[in-house]
Amino acid sequence: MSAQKTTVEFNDKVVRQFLLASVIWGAVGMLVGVLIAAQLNFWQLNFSTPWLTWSRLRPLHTNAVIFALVGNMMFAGVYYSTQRLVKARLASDFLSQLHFWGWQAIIVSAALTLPFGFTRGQEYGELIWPINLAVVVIWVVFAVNFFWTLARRREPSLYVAIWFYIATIITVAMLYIVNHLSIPTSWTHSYSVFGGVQNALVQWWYGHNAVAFFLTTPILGIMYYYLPKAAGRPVYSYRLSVVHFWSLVFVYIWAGPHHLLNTSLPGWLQDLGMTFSLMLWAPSWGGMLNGLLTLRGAWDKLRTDPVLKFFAAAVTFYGMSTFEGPLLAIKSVNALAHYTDWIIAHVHGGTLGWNGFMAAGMFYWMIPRLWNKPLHSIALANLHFWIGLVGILLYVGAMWTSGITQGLMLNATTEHGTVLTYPNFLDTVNVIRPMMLMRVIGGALYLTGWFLMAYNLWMSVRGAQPVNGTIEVYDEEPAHNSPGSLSVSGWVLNAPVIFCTLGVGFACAWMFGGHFVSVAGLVGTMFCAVVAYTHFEARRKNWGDWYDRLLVSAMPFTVLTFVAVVAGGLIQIIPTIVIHRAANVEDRRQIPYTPLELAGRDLYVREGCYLCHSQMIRTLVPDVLRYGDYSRLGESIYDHPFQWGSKRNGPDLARVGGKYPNVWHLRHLENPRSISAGSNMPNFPWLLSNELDASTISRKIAVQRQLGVPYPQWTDAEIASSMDTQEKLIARDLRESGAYVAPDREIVALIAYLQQLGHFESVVPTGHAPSLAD
Amino acid sequence: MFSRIVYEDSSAFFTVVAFAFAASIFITISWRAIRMRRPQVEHLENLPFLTPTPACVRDESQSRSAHAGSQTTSEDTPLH
Repeated sequence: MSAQKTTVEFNDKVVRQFLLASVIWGAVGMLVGVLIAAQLNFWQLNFSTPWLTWSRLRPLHTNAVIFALVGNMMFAGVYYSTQRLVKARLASDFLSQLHFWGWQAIIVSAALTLPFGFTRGQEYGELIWPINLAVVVIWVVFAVNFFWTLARRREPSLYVAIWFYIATIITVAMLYIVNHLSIPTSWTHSYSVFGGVQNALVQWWYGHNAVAFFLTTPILGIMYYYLPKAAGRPVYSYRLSVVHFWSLVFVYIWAGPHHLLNTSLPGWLQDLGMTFSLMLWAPSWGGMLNGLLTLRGAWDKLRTDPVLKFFAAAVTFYGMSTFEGPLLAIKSVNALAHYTDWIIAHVHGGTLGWNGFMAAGMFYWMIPRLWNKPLHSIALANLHFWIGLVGILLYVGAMWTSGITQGLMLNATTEHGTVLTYPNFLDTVNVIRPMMLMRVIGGALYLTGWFLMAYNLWMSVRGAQPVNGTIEVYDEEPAHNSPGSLSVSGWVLNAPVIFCTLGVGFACAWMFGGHFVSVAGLVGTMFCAVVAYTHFEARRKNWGDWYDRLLVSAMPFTVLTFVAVVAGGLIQIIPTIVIHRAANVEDRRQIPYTPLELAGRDLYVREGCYLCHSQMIRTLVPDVLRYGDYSRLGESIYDHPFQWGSKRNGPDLARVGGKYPNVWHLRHLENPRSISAGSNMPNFPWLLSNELDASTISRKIAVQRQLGVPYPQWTDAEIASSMDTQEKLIARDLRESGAYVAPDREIVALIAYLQQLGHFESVVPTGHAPSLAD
Repeated sequence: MFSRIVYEDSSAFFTVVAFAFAASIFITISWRAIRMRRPQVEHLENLPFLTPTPACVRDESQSRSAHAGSQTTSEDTPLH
């Protein structure tokens, strides 16, 4: 076959677009971050305005930095490196442009909806269902464009960075779709199909792995490409990168339950989350050391090269964060740190240090290549580095101090552990005020550095001519058709796949089956293992060849990666769904909300109350002394979405119902400082003036019934009558306490909900231990 | 005081099975990685350098000799 030499021009236009979008959205997202940090110090900065209130802006901040800053940066990095690693232009210019503009439209939609209270009420999964659908569509566009490009590649081997990109694409799709399964009640509202403990588990399976597969694996792929390029030497150990990939991808997905330690999540899941979190130390540090050691012999360049400075610091922060994460996943450490600012320190060490600095390093490296013009100012880039580094250290140091102080004070007891040393929650708030202020300063410094970078990049590209990279190639058959690659039948019909499939099947029968099936499964598993080992010993070369060929076959490799990530999810979620039933609720069962309480709950979600107030009293002495009896599994089984929370800027509310009179809640929501001097909670005056929208409540109750909440078959008139009666009762009580408010105001519904919290019906434990197959 | 009623005692087994499963994956992959052939490793680790990514940089020698704005293009360092 005669091969003709041809020039391939890469699609770098879309890379430039994503790069610039990341810089711009990053500035917006971090600006909002600095504002909400300042709001925690100066409540006046909420301006008593709904869309400027902390609890509505916080989701905007997190979504902007995750999906806009890191998302756009990731797409730029992936598209640039993939084209060069596989020696092929992106498969479709149309899909590339659709991907870019579609993603920006999603970001704009998020920015327009979140401040106005349109939310699903789950962290990092707040976007409403029409936007969720758009995210899925655009992600599929990205996947098609990426895999289509792989199919047209001229380089048969898949570099490890591509492996990380593949894992990112398929895992994020799986996580996002499962966690966002909802039933709409209107164009802007839906209820998650998961409730209570199921919802908690799925949410943190998603939340944790959004960090893993959106903020970590694609950036590791970027590290494995750009760090060697910037250092001018190959990765320290390619073998270690292989171990890093498989162990990280396989282990990460199991660790989600560590966000729910000491809660009412079943104990075995907590143990599972903790165990796998500790196991994460090994691959994470393997990857970190691999990155840092790539700089061996090039450390002298760090003095002058800002790109390497950013990369070296970023990888170091990756190491710090991945040390801290497993540490925080130890149950006893978690008892101190959870719900405090320590978690905020951990998160920002990762995002500002790892993601932000990797982004900056990559941008500085890319700009002279994408516009064929030198960087405007190396000195300014170095200044950015030092300002950013000082900013992170101030931020993280302040939050460590604040978090540990909070944890120690909130957990402190006296009189032999029977009395709280600091019974007033505000005692801790007042102590950590200087640290909260330090956070604002640190964040502002980091943001200043980002603005310096934006200015530097703008000056660099101003007047420059964008250039697309090119490569000379021999125009021949795409590499995926080369003899070394596997056909679809070739990767399915072979010994490793057949034995693994049979083994997993037998193991499932063993664990999930009834008596006979379980025994048969156990025998089958053992038999399968013995035969597989015998076959491996006899045909060792075939097994090795299969693996080697798999690594140059994109689609089978993708399926294998999917199997690796899906295993951890299934083994956690399936048993929890199986056992989630009214009989398995410990000794208490939630009472379904009245229509008015349900409407109030939706307001609670709309205002983002869950971002500061948990509804989960842990099995810890100080929690019980402070908030009441510990929360049971059954007390939130009908909550769609669950509202256990992840941070306590204010006290837990799981048993706040009946603790204070109605008028206390009204005054407190109108102006928290009139009740709690020194509180930093925002005012919510609009709740007193806004009329409650009850038009969709019938539909909401119908959807709740569909989801398994035992509501009777109420007619619309019965629902309206129920709401009317309860509204008037509360309004009359308020009036008798000296507060006049019309019964149809939002505040009345919210009070109804708050006063219901902690109410339950007792269930007599049966003592029966249902098998998972029941 | 805080003892939980746990109906799914048998599920505790999952943690042990999961750990053993993950450990076996880790050992298998490590074994495969260690046994990778040197030429294969060299080929893979050099993939980022097979496609040049020239950057426009300031030519410091010329800029010192009164060509302050002059630019040049640098290739990636060839490796093996």
